[in-house]
Amino acid sequence: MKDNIFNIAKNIFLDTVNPQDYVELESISTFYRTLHACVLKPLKMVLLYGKPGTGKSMLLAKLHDELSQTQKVYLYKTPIIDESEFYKTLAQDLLSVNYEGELNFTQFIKILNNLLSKEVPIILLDEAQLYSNSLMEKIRLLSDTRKLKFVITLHKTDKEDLIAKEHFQTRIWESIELNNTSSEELKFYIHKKLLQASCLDVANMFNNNAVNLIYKLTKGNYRDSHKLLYTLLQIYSWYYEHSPSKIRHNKISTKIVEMAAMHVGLLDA
Amino acid sequence: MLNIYELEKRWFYYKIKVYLPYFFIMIFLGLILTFLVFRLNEKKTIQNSSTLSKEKIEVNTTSITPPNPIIPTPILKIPEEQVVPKQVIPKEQVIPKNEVKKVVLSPSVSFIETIVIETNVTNKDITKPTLEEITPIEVQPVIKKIVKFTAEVPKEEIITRLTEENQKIQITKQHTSNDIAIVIRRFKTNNNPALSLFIAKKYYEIDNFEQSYNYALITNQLNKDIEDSWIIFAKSLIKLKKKQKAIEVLKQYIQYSNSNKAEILLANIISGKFQ
Repeated sequence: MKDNIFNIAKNIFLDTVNPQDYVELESISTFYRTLHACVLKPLKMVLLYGKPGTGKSMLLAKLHDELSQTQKVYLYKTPIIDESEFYKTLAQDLLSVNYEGELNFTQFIKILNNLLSKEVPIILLDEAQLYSNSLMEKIRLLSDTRKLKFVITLHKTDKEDLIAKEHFQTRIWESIELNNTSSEELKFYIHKKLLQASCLDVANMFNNNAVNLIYKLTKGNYRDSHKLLYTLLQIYSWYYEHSPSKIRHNKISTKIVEMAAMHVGLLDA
Repeated sequence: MLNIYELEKRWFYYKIKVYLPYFFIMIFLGLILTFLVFRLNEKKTIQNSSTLSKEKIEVNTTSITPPNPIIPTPILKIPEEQVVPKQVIPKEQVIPKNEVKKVVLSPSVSFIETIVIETNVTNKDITKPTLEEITPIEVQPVIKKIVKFTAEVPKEEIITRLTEENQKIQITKQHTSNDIAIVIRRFKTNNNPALSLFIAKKYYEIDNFEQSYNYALITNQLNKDIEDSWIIFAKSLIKLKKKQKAIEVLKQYIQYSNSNKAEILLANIISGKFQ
């Protein structure tokens, strides 16, 4: 029996943030170039925001992957909620100072002033909407010292109110909003992802109709598209093994797309 | 793990849910369409019947010529002072100048009297025969010129109407003059030859041969191609002791239409089987 190509293809769409899986789309490339140029400027803070699943984390990971080769850059994918823990983690990573016990903001500033070299490290904070208002204020003050640069990603939620506050707004030198992708870009994205994994046959099955339907269901959201495509290929894989006569290999079936959408909750059935 | 069978089921129900509104919309539109078609047909039927009656009136005005030129004499029961509606066929239409014998066909005066009393006759073209015109004229030979009818009542139409009328008669089958009067009223409103034929038949059935003769005559004037009308006409003549006229009428009609029925009746009359 031939290898189950759908089983291989489905794993491409696992929802993971790996810079190696980054697909260079035209719109995302523009954002990335802007972001890259921003961090090289003597700014205090860069804000990357957008709805969930628009590729913020991936962009941050890609930035970290690229900048880490030339300068000090630290990525915190999971928010550190506790304030003392936050300072201690920064002290550990930036200055290799291992602190036991509590570390407050003043102590951390002192350490920062005494030990830090001229090179300004870049701190990348993902999911910043989970930080408390108080900690966000401290982050603002830390950025004011010009000893650290911050790039924070934020969901477009209530936290925007905080960002909108004037005292915070003035310190953000650059803000980039990410949006869902277009139908054409989604097709390109799916094809490129599959071709990267040498799944040419599966890639050819995604014609305009199938992609348009997927776009209609996911509204171009990357996370939803990944979920849908993973389930779609999982269903194809099942049919391939149990009932191969029910699937066609020249195009994606609308029925199976809808079944996958029902399974992941994109279709109300 | 995916449960594909359940997913397939859910998908099936989802599809039903999606297409159900379209299905109902289609049914709704279908019903509306059916209703519209029904209404349209109804309108058409009404229009047809009205045009039909108009056509009949036209027929009456343009060509009252019966297929055979024999115009029997009216049954004379006429009080002389009575005003008689004009029923005489225009001379230029019916009788060529070189004809030798002329028979003027007109209804009996008592019949006309009832029409005048019961309604104001709308049909202007049923002209009143004058006293001079009423004078008996003997049978004339073949008329060469036959005016063709352009508007004819479709056979199906006649049959339907007859059936309808028959049904009505069956309900009140008492042969009272009142019952026939209802049909006469209807006939006066639409001049339908099927109705006049029906009346003629009914009168014949109740042995009122004068009226039967009159209505058969009117039917022939309205539509010269109704075989039954000519048969009733001839039979009425026989019953009115005008055998010779009946024979001549039938001969003329057979010559015109090659009617088998008429031939059989003629043979019966000549042999004396039908008296």
